[in-house]
Amino acid sequence: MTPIQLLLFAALGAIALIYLKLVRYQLGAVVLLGLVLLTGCIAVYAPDLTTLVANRLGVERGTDLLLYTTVIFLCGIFAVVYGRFRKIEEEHTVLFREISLLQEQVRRGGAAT
Amino acid sequence: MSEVLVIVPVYNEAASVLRSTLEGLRPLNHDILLVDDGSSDPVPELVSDLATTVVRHTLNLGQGAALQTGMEYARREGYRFAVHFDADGQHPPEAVDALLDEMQRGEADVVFGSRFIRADNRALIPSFRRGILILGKVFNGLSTGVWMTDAHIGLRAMNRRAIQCINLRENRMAYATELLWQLRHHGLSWKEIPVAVVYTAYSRRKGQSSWNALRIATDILLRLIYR
Repeated sequence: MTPIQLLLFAALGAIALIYLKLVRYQLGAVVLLGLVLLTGCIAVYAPDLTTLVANRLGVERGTDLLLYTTVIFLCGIFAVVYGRFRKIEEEHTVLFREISLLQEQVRRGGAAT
Repeated sequence: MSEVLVIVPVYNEAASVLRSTLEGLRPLNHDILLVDDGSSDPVPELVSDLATTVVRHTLNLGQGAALQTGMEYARREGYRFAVHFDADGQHPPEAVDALLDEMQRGEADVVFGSRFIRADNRALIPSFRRGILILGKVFNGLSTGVWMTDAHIGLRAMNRRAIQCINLRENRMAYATELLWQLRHHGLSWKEIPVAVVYTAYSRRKGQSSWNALRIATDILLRLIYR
């Protein structure tokens, strides 16, 4: 095994641990992680296999297939994270609104007494 | 307490313009709510001698968010009618009662002012802005199915039913399109009446740039994706 393969395996292991902590061992997320990790490990251990799969799919090189997959995967992650960001922004607005209205109510209460 | 609440969203408005807008509205004898959307100089200090209620956002959230805060206030305080009115002095105060008269005939849940119904009002709009507004009208019509002559005007009145139903989630200017979706979704009836908008040097400098239309379109597309 080459040094780069060792480094890549270590990186995959670290990502898996962080991810598992974040998703708190939910079944669906763990299965998805397992599949992605398995694919990653195969690609690191036997890079020629990716070319074999790429050829079956009509792509010339395994590296190209990996690039396409990575881009799509990253775009998907971006879309999901952006959706969560929008949700947080909306909740943030509701919270600020509530604070503003409460402040006004307190001011009015203070003025009345 | 009046049964009408005039909601005026304010962000970094010149004190003299804001005062003049409020002084124009006061003779109408409606309650006025200023929603200070995080101005650098807090609005309560600018208008402390004028009898208006001020709600202040700690941060600048956008006009849509400011109007929704006003609507939430109207809902909690039990107002029968709410009117959206810009702070920059573009709208004639008498248009408020014209909108309310139309609404009190019971013909619509929401009455919008429109700069495009009468030719003399249309002629007051700078030509580039007019072109952008027409494009906006087509874009709104296609994306919401509601074909209005002037959906991006900041002057509209609504009754209690509309106040209860409408919940704007778009913080920035795309709220005007979102409002049309909500009209359809809640089955609210609407009507437009002609109003004149005065474009002063101040309002043109302070108002949104015509190029902001691209940002509005992006926000609308994102809202369609992330409903």
